[in-house]
Amino acid sequence: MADPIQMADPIQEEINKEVAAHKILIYGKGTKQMPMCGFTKETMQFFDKYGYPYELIDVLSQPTKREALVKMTNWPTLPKVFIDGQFYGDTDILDPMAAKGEIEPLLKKAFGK
Amino acid sequence: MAHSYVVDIHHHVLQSTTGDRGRGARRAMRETCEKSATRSSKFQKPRTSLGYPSSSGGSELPLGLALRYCYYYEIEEGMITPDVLTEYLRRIMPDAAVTVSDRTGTMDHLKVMVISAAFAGKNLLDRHRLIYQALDGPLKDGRIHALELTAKTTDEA
Repeated sequence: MADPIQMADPIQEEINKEVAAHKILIYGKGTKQMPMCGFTKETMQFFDKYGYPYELIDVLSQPTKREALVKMTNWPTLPKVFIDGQFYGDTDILDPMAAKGEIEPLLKKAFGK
Repeated sequence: MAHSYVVDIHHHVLQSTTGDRGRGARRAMRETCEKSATRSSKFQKPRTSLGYPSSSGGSELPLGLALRYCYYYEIEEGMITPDVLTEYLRRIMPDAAVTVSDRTGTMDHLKVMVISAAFAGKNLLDRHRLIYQALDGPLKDGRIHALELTAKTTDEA
């Protein structure tokens, strides 16, 4: 029988699965069709430039999941971006990386190109 | 088809929508904010009731009036000043040089640049974490709603 302390939190499990399933994953507010937050929209526009598929997961009405994401990343705000399983913060981090030319190779590698 | 504007609590028209869809969107927008931290319910409730006209009332408040309600509330709860924000940052980074610009005229959507030796040897993620940690109080109580950050060392600035 599994020790309850060792048992994985179902929300964390769900997040782990989502992060593993999508090469580019944005946790944000709203949907691609209707982003409910200026920064979520800005993040979508950031990735639109590169032409790789990305997933947006809406956590607007999921406080428990948001809290789990905060703990997991040690990052208090939304949106939160994961690339190839790795946490990259938001566009405050991605924009300077793009300026240094680091995004294109990162995405190429993530998508095996 | 009635045309309605969805207005967030910080004075911008986020999007305009039509008909029933607008009503649903407005309800969802109550919960919405940009890059915001989780806020206390104490703070959220009165904001909602003051910031948004009740949909059961039938008619909607004119845009200008809705904005004034929000503004009133902001003042009542107290806004953060650049000096107070700098104080929070200097508790963790005593040498911090801080530049604050107000993105929305409401002093809660802020663009903040911090220059400090504390960032040396830290990647961008950890630099921003340090800033978020320093501003945890005003982020949680809602005085700061959204932040756009730049973190540099003295050498980089």
